[in-house]
Amino acid sequence: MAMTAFLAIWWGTLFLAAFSVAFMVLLVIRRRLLERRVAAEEARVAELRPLIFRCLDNPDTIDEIVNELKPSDLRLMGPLVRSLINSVSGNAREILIELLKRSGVVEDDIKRLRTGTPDQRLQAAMTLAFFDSEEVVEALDSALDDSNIEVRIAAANVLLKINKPVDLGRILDWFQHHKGGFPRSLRNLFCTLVRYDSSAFLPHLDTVPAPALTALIYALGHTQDFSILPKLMRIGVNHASTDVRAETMRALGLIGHPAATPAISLGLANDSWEVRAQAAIAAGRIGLPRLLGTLAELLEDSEWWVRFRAAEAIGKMGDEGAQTLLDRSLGDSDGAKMARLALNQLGGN
Amino acid sequence: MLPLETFLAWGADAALVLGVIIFGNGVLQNLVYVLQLALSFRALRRRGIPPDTLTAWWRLNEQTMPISLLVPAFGEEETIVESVRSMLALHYPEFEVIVINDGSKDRTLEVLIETYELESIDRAFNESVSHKGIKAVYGSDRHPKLIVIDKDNGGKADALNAGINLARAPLFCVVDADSLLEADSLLRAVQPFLIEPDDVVAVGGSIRLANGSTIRSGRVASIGLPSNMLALFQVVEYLRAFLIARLAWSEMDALMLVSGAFGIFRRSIAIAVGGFSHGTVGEDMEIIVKIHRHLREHNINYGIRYVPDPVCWTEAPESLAVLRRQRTRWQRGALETFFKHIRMLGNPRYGLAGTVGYVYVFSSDVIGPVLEAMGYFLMPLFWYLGILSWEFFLAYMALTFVFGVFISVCSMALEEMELRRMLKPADLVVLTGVAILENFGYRQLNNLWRIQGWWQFLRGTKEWGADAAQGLSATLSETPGNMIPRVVAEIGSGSCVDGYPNRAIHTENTVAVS
Repeated sequence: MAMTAFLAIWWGTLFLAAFSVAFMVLLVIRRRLLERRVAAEEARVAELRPLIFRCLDNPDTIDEIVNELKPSDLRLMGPLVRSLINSVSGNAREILIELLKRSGVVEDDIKRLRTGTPDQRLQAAMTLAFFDSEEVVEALDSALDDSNIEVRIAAANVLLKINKPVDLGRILDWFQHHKGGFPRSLRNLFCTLVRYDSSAFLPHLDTVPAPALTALIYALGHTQDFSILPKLMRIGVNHASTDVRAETMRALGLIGHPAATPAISLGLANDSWEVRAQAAIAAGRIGLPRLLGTLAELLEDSEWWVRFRAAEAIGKMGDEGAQTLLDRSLGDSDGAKMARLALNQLGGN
Repeated sequence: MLPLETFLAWGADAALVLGVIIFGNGVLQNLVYVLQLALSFRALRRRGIPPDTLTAWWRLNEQTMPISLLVPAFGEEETIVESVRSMLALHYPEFEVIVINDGSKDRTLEVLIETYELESIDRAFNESVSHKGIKAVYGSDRHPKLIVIDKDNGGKADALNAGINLARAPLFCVVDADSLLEADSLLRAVQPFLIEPDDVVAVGGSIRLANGSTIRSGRVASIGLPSNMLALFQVVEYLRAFLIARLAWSEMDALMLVSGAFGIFRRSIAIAVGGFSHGTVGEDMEIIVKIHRHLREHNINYGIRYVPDPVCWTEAPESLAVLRRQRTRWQRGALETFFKHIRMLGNPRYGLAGTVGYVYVFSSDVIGPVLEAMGYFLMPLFWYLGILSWEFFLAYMALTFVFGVFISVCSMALEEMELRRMLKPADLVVLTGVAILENFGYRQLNNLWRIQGWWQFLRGTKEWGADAAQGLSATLSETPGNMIPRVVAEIGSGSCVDGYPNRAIHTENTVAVS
């Protein structure tokens, strides 16, 4: 019995090795065929390119050109025209979009969005941004339930671009059972969404878990909506999560309104060094000379990054800041060293 | 006194047990290879990679995180200007290039200062990790993305630690001074950080050999095959190691090595583990093991990922002497790291990194070379003496020689099916032949070097040897490269106190059978 097993290993291994080599031979043959196909496609693209430029010169020829297309041209037309669309604007862009529509590329993209590989679906979702039709919106809306999160996010982004914003609650539902962090592409989506309607974010700030809240606050930092300040200030001071408090300080700095001073002042005294450092950045970005004293004390903070950010912030506060750095630069303490470095940088600037 | 027959019977029993151990380790390793093959295939099918640089840019440029490229340099006078130029031209939204001149005895620093019009600057930095003294920091108004650190010689790990301290970005990328990066390498390699921003702490990139390729302006312009046989073996070896082993370990959350030639790390975690360890020849493997250990001991979720697309090109040694020094050094590095963190071995506290990754390191790198070498001598002897049956011996031969052909050819099939970055059909035929040939001679030679590495480790050898492969210096101008090899054992390379070889690639012994 044991002997049989050993022989099975011998023959089985020989078979696997022979099979792999045979398979490789097939792949080599496939490569040869692919190369021929690519060469043929390149030749066809060279024929299609002048047609497209003819169309740009004379939009009335679109139908004539579409009639000249073979069914196999569909796969070539999409990438070819799309590469041009990104390089032109105005009327030329409209003509190219019309050409894509009439040549059936949109239907092809919709099909790929539904049945392609994850990468094809992602690419299809992004290219559908050029078209605003009922079918496109319907396909993108379906893609919001795609199994791949990146496809969902891309579809939501495109819907936003064609003025069909997605409900924030629906996006947050995607992450109801999500354990890890939020993909960074989602932050970008929130940034676009928040410009569309920042008030839609406010109800969710009290209900979502910390990772989602961090992403929402990141987006809110990109608005100039001062009405959200009270709520942000409350979160920045009281929230249990260090990440959330630090992100809020960052957002307050980006919004740049001096009304945030009380929260930033409390942030400078926070137990977490990440929050203190972000609060110092915010103080410098807004320009809050009232906090100069507190920032000067942070030059002696136990954490290097807090000292560094405090010195940077002080340096941004004009003559008063420079004088503070000068006063603090004497001696051999960590704060004095940092003040001298900041002064050097000021001098360099 | 034992009767002679009893003694012989005991000897035969002992030989049988030894044969079974050697055979068993071979079976275990081959089963791991099959698992790796399946996992790699699945991962490659799933991956979402932008088809070209422009698409990658449009898709990712708004999400990226700033990266500091750390480029340790020792004696790179001939190549450093061109390397830095190609790095400054990378397609990535926000990055800085920090060259760390590690006490070079040639004009590495001077040519940088002259070419890039550098001036001494003050740059605030925290001494988060230890390193030898920094003599000066240089910057340039004309090249604001470039920082050059001039420091006392301390080895590669020491130089990287200085770079970590001066880096301002949340991520840093370790790059060998003579490596050639793909223009969109950072865009591609940073993706795991964008998809899992809270978890991913390190990402390794795929390294390919530039031997035989044409290099123009610091970029691989066209891929070719080397004419040197040793280089051809290494091409297959690197393909197998990076495309199958690394990817599979990454899928299993048990990746134990991010190559020192190209790896992106979260700066905060590198600082938390104390940066790169001094006095080791395998600092790149060691830091990954340290990260696993630190995060598991603190119950922190994390991920160490691998990007299969080629992002970095390097040159392989083409002479036996240089290759031998490289491989013995890698073996020492693996052993150093293994014994330094031996408490991880099979320890469930360290998750799959301890129970699978570290056990595999033990099987393939620690006992693997010894068992394989014993197998080459003892199995034929035991069969000749009638202790082992011929069927057993045949099965051993199949596992040792033939199975390697299957794994190597499959790695090329994967490359052709999923990446298709290689060559012409005729080159695929050549590499298929090389994949078969390497199992009969080259692999055994490699194992011999690994045994030598073991011996050097036992003797406490620390030096790098005057090795240093030829480097890409010869190919940075517009000339076809000409290089070479394939390896085994997941091994690390590291640094020497005086200087360090330009190559820090490690591959796995994916077909070694004991």
